[in-house]
Amino acid sequence: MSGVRKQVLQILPGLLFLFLISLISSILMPRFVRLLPSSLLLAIPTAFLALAETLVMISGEVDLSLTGSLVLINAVAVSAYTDYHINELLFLAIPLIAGLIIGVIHGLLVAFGRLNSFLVTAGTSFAWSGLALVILRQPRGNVPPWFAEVFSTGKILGIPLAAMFALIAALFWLLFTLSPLALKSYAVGSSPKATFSFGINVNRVKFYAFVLNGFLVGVAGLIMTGIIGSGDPRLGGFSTVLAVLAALIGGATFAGGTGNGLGAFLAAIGLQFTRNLIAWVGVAHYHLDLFYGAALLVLIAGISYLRRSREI
Amino acid sequence: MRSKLNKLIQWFQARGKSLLPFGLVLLLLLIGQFFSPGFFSLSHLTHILTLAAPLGIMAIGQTFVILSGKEDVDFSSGANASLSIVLTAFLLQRYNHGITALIILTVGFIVGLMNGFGVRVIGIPPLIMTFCSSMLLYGVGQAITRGMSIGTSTPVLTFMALGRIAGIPVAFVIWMGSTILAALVLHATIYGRWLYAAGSNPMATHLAGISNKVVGMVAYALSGMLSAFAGLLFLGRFSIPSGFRMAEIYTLPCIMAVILGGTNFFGGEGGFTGSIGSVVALTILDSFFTIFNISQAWRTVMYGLLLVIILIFFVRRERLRI
Repeated sequence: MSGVRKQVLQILPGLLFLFLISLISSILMPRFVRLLPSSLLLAIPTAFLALAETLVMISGEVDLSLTGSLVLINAVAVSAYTDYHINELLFLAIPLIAGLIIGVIHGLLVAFGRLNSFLVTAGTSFAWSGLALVILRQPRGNVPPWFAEVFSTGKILGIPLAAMFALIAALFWLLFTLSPLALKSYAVGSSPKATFSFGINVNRVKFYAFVLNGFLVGVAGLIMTGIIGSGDPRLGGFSTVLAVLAALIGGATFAGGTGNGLGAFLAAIGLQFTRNLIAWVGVAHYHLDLFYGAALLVLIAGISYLRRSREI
Repeated sequence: MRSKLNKLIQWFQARGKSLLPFGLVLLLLLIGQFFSPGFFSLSHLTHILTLAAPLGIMAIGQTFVILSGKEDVDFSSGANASLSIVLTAFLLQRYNHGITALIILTVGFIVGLMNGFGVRVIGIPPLIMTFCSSMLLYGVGQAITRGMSIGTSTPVLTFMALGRIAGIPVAFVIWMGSTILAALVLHATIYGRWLYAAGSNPMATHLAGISNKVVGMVAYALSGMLSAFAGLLFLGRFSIPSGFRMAEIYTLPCIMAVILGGTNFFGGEGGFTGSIGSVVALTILDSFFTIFNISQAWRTVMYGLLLVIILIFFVRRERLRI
């Protein structure tokens, strides 16, 4: 019982943020309610990235390669379908496999290579987006027609896609929190040394965190590919920053040991709505990145300031 | 005689880390000579030194930042230089060189100070802070250009970036001048002592009555200013700013050069000598890419992988022990 209450309390900040942004949006933007289903679906990939980021931040690491990974997964899937005409079911599996491979590489480097996750993932981010550019060269390619159709209608068997994905995320988070890995991750994040002393393999826990992270990035890549219906090597943009910020709103810290995936999931949706809001207020498209980036930075600074540890 | 030899060996042991990149330069030059005769010649060497200068100037600033603390690193130097390229081209349409340079350097300094404030006062992890601010800087660049290319380089900037005086590249002279100036700051001023102190033991530094925050913020500000200055040379070389992300590809080489140059990523140890060698080595590597006609995309991939390899050799956490 107390576990359920704790979960609800932890989801609260993300939920409140989403509610607040939705409230402001529905007051300022008359179209907001009508466009809600489609804007929810558009926010889902980022939301999965936020969930993925939370998993690694709980264990005390950070993944700054999300933008690069997302683009690479998109490129691999679209190229496999367009250039090599693979089976359509295999096409659905490829993003997930690619995500897992990326996760395993990051896990090996950070956990067993004992490298600084900030720097390594910043480096691999360049490598992944470069590879995506090598594979695609320019925005091109297509996906199976039925796959694009599902995403353009936004419904599958009458169920809204966004709701389905949110349910999947919730189930994933539930399974994670019930698994022994969750407890170990939180322990590793709050004190690696103490956890190590109790005989838990710290590196293995971090490795699994990155593998799960990679899998979720794969899911995000699959959904993203469905939404845009083609390959684009210049995708992503703010994804990494959004995911980190959403994880922070969801209760995660850079020091590790805290965080709630569902809270981050909801917060990411709220952050996407913020972008729509800024665009609606009348900011020209070439100023949008500037204003949005500034808003994100201010939010990150605010949260970091509130949670700063008293240091010298 | 024997004691002199011992002294020589000791000197090499002490400088080994910062001499390694120069060995790498020699190796790369020999490999280059093998593939393309004329590679290891004076004219090509001066050409490489010309091309290396902007990156070298960025690396000076990066060295200050990395020296200043445990995890401090400036990931926004590429973005900062990119903005400087766009802004210089924009300002030169209205103002003369002096005023433009003054504005550019001030903007760079303020951007760096903002980074330092975020990291040291607010407490955002350095890579997150500079990652975000680079996003913001590209946003500013985009807002200025609005997707078009504005302005061009001027003869003065082109001379600074590519010109020669008595056979010596002007850019190289500027780079060396900046390095000497920075080395003076590092080794002959009280600020340099504070920087090493803050980097190697922040607690002791704090107890000695020195503010780690101020020392760190100044390091970031210097890095911002030097990156902006490098942007002037980049504009001189590229002549037309064809985008607002022109110097993005130099972000990783700038960090790599400093780590490869023997400066300890965890702060408080290192200097400029090694960085000079590794900047030249990375520039030669880049000219290899040009010789073998490797696309910009593949270069990005290579730089990403190279950073990982360098990290494996130079920056590893200690093993957990009880």
